[in-house]
Amino acid sequence: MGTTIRKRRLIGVDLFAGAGGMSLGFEHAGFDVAAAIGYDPIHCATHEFNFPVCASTGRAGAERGVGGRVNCGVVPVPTQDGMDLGSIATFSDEKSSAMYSSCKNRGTAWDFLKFSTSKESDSKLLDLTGQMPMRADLPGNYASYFSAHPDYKLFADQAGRTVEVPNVPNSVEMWQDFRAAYSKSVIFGNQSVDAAFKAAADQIKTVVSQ
Amino acid sequence: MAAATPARISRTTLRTWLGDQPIGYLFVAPFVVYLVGIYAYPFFYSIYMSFFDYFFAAPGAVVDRPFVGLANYAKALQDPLFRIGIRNVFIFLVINVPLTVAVSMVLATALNAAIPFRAFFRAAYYVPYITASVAAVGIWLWLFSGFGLVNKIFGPLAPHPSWLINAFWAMPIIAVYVTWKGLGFYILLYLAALQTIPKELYEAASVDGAGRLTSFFTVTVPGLRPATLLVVITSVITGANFFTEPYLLTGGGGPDNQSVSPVFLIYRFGIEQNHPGYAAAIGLLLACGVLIISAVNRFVLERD
Repeated sequence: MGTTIRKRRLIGVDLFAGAGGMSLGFEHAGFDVAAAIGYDPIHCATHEFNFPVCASTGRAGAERGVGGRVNCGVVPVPTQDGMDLGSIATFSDEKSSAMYSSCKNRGTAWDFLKFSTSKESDSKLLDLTGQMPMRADLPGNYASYFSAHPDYKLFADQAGRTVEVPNVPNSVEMWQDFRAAYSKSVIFGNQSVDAAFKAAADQIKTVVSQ
Repeated sequence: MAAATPARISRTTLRTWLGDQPIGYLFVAPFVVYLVGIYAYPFFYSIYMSFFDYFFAAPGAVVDRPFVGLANYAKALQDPLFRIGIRNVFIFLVINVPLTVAVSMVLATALNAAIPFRAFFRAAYYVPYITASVAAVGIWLWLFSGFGLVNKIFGPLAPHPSWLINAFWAMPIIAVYVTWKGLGFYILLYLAALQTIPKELYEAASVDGAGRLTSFFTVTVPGLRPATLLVVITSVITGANFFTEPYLLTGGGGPDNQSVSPVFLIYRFGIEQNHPGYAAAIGLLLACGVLIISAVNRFVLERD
């Protein structure tokens, strides 16, 4: 896990770290990333592999603080105007299943879909993985789980307020424009952030209008 | 019962058309089919696509793909990314081709001489060539990462930001990587060519008082000229088409799009963003460029 940080550089802490894209950006921008907090244990393991000098931790660690060295907790995504915590929405990154109309055994497939997304199966998913099922009123439906794991209650509340990544034609092209602007200005500092994102916004508007 | 008399073609006419050994066509047929199906048809189809606002649709779907004339070509020539791609091809070729020729010629000469562990060295230089690109790239990613072996060796001299995310160093590293990866193949070409240089020439040179270095430059280098032409043309053509390296080694043409290559842009625009017409135009511009460079190479190197 942690080793000593050698040079005197600015120190960053990567929240919602995932596999470490933001940590990489921080490093490129001249920060030392001292700690990273993620949600999914697999992503945290990847982060730890990618950034061995950075103390990274998943959900369980976040509850205790990173290796006991950082006192931390979890809050909804910060907003520009400081919105009320109860009305902030977040990306769900939902995982869905679908059945093709060309499916041969539709009846069985439908039964299977219903079984695997039933309230009981969702409860098992929550128990085994700590992942929030796609279901309304999680805190009410699985009250016993959340009384046993009070730290997860915030995630359950947040799961009630989600928005999806907009899915429009040519979205791949738009994300590429966005990434290019981000790399150019935020990571490599070759253009001012305002100018880069203004250009990206114009470009994306042209793509949308096509 | 056929009433009409069959229009008989005389044997002589048949022979004029099919030659003395018609069965030969049967033997070359598999390769002709392969060539037409895998190379010729897609090539001409991409010329067709490049004049349209083409996009991929489900098979059988009737869609409108408007004719746009030379608009795709005009767009490519004005596209700053395509210009960076062309610039990168030049950076790549300027480093890669001379390095490939010089290093593989010297190494082939060394490996041709009676040195200890010759078979081991021959195999060692060939191994990268037959190693999967993805695996080799994986190793180089580690070597040149911020905390990698190379930076450990360079210590305070290591560039900042590190090699592969450094706008100046990314392309040279790619060129060196491709040189290293392909070296085995070109050494093999030179080793074969070295066997064709008559021993008498070396004897004559040594009688005239030439040392090892002089006979290398006056006998070996000129004797290898046909092989050098082949090496230059092959490495220019494969080099100008580099894709795996910006895709994997610099994580998608990074840093800040400074290591994109034309073929990488073809992938990004044609496959990822579904603008195959534009991608086809880029591909054809690249093909024209490579043809011109190859023609110049032949003109310069293939005298006598």
